[in-house]
Amino acid sequence: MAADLADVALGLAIESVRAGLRAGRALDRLARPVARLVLRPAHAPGRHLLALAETGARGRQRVLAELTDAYRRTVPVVAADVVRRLDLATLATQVAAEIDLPEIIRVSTGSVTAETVRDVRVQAMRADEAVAYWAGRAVRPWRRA
Amino acid sequence: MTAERSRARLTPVPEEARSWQGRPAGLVSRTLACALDLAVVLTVLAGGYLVTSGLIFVVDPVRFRFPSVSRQALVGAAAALLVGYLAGSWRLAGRTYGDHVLGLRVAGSGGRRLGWARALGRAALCTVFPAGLLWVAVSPARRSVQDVLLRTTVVYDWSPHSGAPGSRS
Repeated sequence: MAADLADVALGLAIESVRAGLRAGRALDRLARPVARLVLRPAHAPGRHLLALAETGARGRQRVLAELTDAYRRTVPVVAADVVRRLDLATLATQVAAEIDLPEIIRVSTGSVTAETVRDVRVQAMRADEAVAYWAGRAVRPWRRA
Repeated sequence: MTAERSRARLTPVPEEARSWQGRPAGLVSRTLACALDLAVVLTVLAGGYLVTSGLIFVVDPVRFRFPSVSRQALVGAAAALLVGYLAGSWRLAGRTYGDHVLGLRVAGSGGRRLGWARALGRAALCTVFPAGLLWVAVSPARRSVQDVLLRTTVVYDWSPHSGAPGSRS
């Protein structure tokens, strides 16, 4: 009887040890990645991260090269089209006309003679108007000048 | 933007005078221009007389005397010179020196420059009957007798490059 009890106890111990070993292996499989990350953070995940970083860098360089190439091919075409649509000659002419270029040139470079001629012309035109007005009133007094 | 947009014209005419361009010129401007042209012709005549006298002096300085010119010859030479000067200026440049100073241009029908026949006829009429200019004062279109007879007109035109043969005012 005592021998039987001892065998049962031994068997229970053996099974307990086996179950503990199985549980330990299972726990080891589950906890191994986390344990590696915690215990040796610079080793196991570093290879994957480096590989990912290299892939990302290559992708970034490839995209940058493609964008640069597209930019260099597109910008001249766009710039040429913009210049063609702008009609710079007309634009420059309009600007020059708006800023009264003759007046600026006259002020900056005009001589006394040129200014005198201009004044004579303007005064003569005003005198023409006055003569036409009074002659019109004298010849056709019934009409409003 | 390129095809539809009207092209602006760059003009050397000051802004205050632009509204006058192309309009018929009045009596005062045209009289001043005529006076300047007459002064030019008289100056050329006097210069010709002095040059001729100088040549005579060089040939025979001992017996030199200023040459006497009869009144008929002087008037005839002045008239011929005036007609030639006016006709040539109107035909070749569209304006005389007086017109240039006063900013005027003589134009035919449609604003074109005068042909030789019309320029000569107008010059002869202006020389023979200068009083026809006074008709400008009473004419609504500001035309002299010469303008009415030859269908010409004198307009304000300060632009120095608008006197092309086919240009319009």
